[in-house]
Amino acid sequence: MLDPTVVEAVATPGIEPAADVAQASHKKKLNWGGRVAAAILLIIVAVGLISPFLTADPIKNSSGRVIEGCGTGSGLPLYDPINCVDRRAKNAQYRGEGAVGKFTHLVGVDGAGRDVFSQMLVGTRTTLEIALGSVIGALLVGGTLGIVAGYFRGRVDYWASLIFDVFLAYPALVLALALISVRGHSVFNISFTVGIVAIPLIGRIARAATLTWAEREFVMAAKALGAKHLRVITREVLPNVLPSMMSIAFLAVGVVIVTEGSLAIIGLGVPDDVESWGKVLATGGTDLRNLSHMMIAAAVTITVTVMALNLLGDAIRQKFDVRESAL
Amino acid sequence: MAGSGTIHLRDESLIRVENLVVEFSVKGTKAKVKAVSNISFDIAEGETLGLVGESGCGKSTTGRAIMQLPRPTSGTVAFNGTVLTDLKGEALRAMRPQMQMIFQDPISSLNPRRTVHAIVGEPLKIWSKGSPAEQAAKVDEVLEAVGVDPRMARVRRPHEYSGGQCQRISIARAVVTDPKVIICDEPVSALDVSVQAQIPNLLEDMKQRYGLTLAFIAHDLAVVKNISDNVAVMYLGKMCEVGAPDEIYNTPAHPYTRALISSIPMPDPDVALDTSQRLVGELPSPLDPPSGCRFRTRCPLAQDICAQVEPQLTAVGKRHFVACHFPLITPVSIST
Amino acid sequence: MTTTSGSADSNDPIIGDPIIEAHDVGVKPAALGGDLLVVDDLHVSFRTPRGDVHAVRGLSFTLQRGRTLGIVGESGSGKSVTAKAVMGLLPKSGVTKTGTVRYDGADISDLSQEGFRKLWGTEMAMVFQDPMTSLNPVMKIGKQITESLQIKLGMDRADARETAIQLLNAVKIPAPEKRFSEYPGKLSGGMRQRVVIAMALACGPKLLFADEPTTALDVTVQAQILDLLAEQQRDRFMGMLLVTHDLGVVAGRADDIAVMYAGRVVEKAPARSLFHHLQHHYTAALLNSIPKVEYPSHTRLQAIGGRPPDMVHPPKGCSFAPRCGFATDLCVEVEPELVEHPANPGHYFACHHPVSTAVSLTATAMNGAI
Repeated sequence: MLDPTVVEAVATPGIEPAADVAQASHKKKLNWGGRVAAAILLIIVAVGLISPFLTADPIKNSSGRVIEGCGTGSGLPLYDPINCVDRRAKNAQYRGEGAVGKFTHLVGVDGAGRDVFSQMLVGTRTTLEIALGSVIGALLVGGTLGIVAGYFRGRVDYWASLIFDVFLAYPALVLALALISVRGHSVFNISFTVGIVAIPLIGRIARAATLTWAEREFVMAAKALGAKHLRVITREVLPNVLPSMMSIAFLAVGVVIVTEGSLAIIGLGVPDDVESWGKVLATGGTDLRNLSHMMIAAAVTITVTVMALNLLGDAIRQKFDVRESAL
Repeated sequence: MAGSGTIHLRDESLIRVENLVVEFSVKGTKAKVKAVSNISFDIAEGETLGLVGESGCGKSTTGRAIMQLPRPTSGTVAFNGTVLTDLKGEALRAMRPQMQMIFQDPISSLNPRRTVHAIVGEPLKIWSKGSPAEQAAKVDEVLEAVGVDPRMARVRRPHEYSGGQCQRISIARAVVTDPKVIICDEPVSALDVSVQAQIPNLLEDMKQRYGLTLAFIAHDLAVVKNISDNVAVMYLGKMCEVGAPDEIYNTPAHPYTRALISSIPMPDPDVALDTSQRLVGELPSPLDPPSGCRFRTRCPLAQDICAQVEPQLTAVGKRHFVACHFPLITPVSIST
Repeated sequence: MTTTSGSADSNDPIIGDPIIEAHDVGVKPAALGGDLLVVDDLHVSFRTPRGDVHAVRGLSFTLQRGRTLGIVGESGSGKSVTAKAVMGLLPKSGVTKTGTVRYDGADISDLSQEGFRKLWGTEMAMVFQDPMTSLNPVMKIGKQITESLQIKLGMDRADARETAIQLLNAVKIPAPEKRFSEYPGKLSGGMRQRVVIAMALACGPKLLFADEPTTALDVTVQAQILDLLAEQQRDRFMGMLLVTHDLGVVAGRADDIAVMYAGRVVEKAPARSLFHHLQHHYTAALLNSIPKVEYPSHTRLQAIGGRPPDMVHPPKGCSFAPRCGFATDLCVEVEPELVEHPANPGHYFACHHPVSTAVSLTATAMNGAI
């Protein structure tokens, strides 16, 4: 920031001073809801990053069954589903002397006696991988297609819009079925499938935003200056289209998380050895009488996350909206 | 074709537009919007041509057609002897720094996400003119010339400036590449009256300082008269009258010009509101313009011939031409 | 009348112009007159992240029945906010409004939204700047007019239709029966503004606000629309508030003109008096900034330098002082009161060094010499 007094001093006579410096330095802050949402999402991302250190593996007996008692596995047991009040018993357990003590599970256990909260923690990473991977992919593909379509219009627009319509018309579930039955369950395949769902979503928004921004006279001015298309797109159009693309991308992350859950319910979820929110949701769905708490846990987490995403997306759009911040 | 003619063209000119036609197709139909229909004009070096007319008369389209944005449907635009309408791709792009544009909406013509300094420096970056330090110095120079503090311009974005200042910034961006010609497309229409006056003054200064040739497009006749050396009055894609501003305003030869002049609001309560010359009716659709003279549907002097024969530009003074069957002043024959 | 033009040409304010005043009043039958709208000490401020923007700061004016008051000012002078405040169109949150507004004798300053709704259309109506956005594009033109007729005046469909067609006819829209069942998209800007005026007139308001009604239109159309507004105002004997940034627009059409600057009236006078005996340097600057057709080409235009003050921190003294060539220390320190011109009753101005002083002093000096 320039020192205001310096600026005033250098202002040559006859030059119209722009409004006061206070106005220039005024930057709009993220609104209240946006800040709360950002905090929630930060926690979720942090959990995703460090989840291996947060959970404790349950103690299993030789046949693989979870045995009652306290016990922690490797890593930092920041969350220990087994609450040992008896230090002696706990120490005994570290020595592998079998289980003693009492289980305290935050949201209960699954059919196999495993801690659901731990599953949610571990699943956070997978869910985020799927969500971010697919949405970033969709941003690249859909965004590029959309901007190119909106900028060049005409024939290019026709084909790009056709691609979006085809993607939209093609049921995601059928696509997922086909892909997963051919290539098998894997995190990548699921990301790919839900990414395709997000492409037209982001692409259409990018196209619509580009259509209005490319009409602006500064784009015409850049062309009149002899700027090449790539330069006009990256320098003039993209920075203006990006905020609306980002806010829809946040929405898309929510959509993807929900989609992953619904895929898991019909058996197209992540592989057996991987945890995800969708998987917890689906497992709960298989036995509603006994495991409804799993479903509720996953559903609440997903709902809160999606709401936070929407809130943050909205707040970001507002923050970067030039006209709204102009006052 | 008429309402056209090339009799008024001079031998020496920097910009020469001949038989310019611009048509747009309407989506989903075969109809064509005849935005500009066979007009010709020229601008001599160092001169300012004022293009004036109501909205929908094709004046802005004409301005953009000179820039080849978009390319005209037919006709030629020559710049300094080079026929722009024949140029393609890189050859046309290479001509761009010599011709610049200023637009109507001061806010919309500047990218809201970039600093003003970056916006004005962009043309130099595109053409890699000089080192970054030289570029910055040049930007500082033009910003100072248009009266915008260069120091502030490094941190401020367009929305932090008033409309008048944004228009100054647009002018700075236009002159930064040292162009020969600037097309000003309604540069004052979006501004308050109190601010409007700054822009013609500034353009005159810039013209002196950088040796510019201007095309000034506006619907405000008083502003056009003030800045122009030559005025062309357009109506529905046609040229009505061309000539020196004082002559056109003092002795308008075309009934449309007369009506335009009489509708200028006068800041004087004692000037009786003259409603006798007021234009009646609506601008006909450019999809299906009237036959013959396009102004005949609203013209108080129209006769049968006006519907059948399109008037050609004829001389009514030394540098004063009109396309009308019944001009308000008698035509003269000029020997060339 | 000869005396009128004679004294009008002289710039001598001491002589005054009683004939013009008498003439102006005489045009409108005084019996039908009376105060329609009285605004007293209106203040409006908006809460923003930067602080309160004081858009209107102590505005007072009176509009009589059947007369037109022109409010002139640059953008940001508070002229549109004034119109909105009087009409109850300001948002409730983030806005502070004080002062009294009396309409037809009744205090409407603290009227509820419901109360205003009863006034809109039947008592007061508004014509907005942009005819492209003030009509609903998916509703037929006829429907947009008949709707208020049916709701506000309880007309049945046939009556409403007939009245609407009469209205379209009154605003000189060709083939009104045909236009009645068309959508606004087919109309040009000027025609749309006519429809907007027809809508505003539909329920016979006594007070018409025209907020920059011609700014978005071409000069030729502007003249037509202003003629139409003047004609309707006269025929219906409405009070009209014509808000504009262009002195040329109000010159021949307003009975009185108030010039606003930075949320205050700086000069207020009957139209003729304002133009012939203008006192405030801002009014003079505004007038001089208009390019004149009579001037030869390449005449240097007189732009007003600088920019309007920041309304978050309005200046202490005269708000125009920073841009005024005649400002002294007094102007910067002390805010001038709005005072009546001694020789021109009804002509008010707020300036420490009015335009005429210099002129009149020289005039007196010369008279004395002779």
